[in-house]
Amino acid sequence: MSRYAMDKVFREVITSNAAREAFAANAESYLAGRDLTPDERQALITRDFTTLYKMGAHPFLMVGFVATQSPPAERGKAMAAYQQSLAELGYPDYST
Amino acid sequence: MAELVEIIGITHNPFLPDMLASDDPDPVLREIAADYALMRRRLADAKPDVIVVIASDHLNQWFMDNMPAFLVGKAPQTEGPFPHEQRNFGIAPYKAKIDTNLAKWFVAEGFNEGVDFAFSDEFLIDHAFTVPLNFVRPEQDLPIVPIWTNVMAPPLPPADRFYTVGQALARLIERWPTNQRVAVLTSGHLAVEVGGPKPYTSGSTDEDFDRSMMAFIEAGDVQSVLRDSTFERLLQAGNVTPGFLNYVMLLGVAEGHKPSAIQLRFPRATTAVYYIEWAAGALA
Repeated sequence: MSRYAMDKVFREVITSNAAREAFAANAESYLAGRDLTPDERQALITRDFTTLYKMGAHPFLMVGFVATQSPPAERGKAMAAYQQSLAELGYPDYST
Repeated sequence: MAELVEIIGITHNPFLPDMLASDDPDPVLREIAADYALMRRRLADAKPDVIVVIASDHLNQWFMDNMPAFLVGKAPQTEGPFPHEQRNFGIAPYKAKIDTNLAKWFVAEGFNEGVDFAFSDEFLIDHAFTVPLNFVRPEQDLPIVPIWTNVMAPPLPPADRFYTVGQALARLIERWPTNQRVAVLTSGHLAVEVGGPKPYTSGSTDEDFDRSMMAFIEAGDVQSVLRDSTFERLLQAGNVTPGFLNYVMLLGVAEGHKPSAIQLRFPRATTAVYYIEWAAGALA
């Protein structure tokens, strides 16, 4: 588990335009060298938000991250889909 | 000695300013606008020289690379919210000078009152500060002292620690060797969820929690507030509800006295909105 490394990626992508663009351009190279498990890395690359939540990503950061991964016009739909996908997942431990 | 002249607790819901400015027909929003106008007047009537602001940070300024439990900001001035918050939420900016004498007093004398405050000389304030400040002091003319609490990154300090740090703050204000009038403003949460399975745009996630906690505060029932403020119970009310702990600290600042005024309202499209106020007379 390397929740801290996941959360750090979310924070960078949320707060920095340069990070958001670099992650969008090539997530795999953006994540190179980071202390992530293969599953975490894969879920980040494929934007598998549900799996990231399940693995203990910080929920507050997840919301900001999900929002950055859709164009503004599709954001509402993406956020609703993300939230609905969590229905059976409860509250995984998100401490780092 | 300095004087604690007013204590106010309100929400920092970043959607609320726009909702209040909108033509949303929900009548509760009009009541809330009147409530917060009242809090603004009450703060002005107390004629404070400085506002101590207790609030959280949403992993914007402080992060798990170096997370303080309680931190005093002692730079000469500050502003906020963060650029991405202004971009995403359209939150109005706020700029304030900091009363560095009081900030340093809190840190230096905190050790003698049982609190080891972290401190920082470089920071921005996020919407947890700017939203409540814009509600009750939009003039941006008074110095503040920002105090951050960790309610976001577990393990959090337990509720009784929030309470005792609040008590220590009250003593530190009373012992401050000036004739300054000090107000304390706090923002936090009642039941709210962000980024979990419960929706966060359709009312409170736990009205029972909201009603019972506000009733305990109204009655000055500190023991019941502390009993129901475990991390697990707060999480159950909604995953960002640990922000309620800032009001536990506020109760400590007020030494558990009954507030002089309290209000709880449930607008249709967002979480509960409320105020808790202790005028100087309620603290005797």
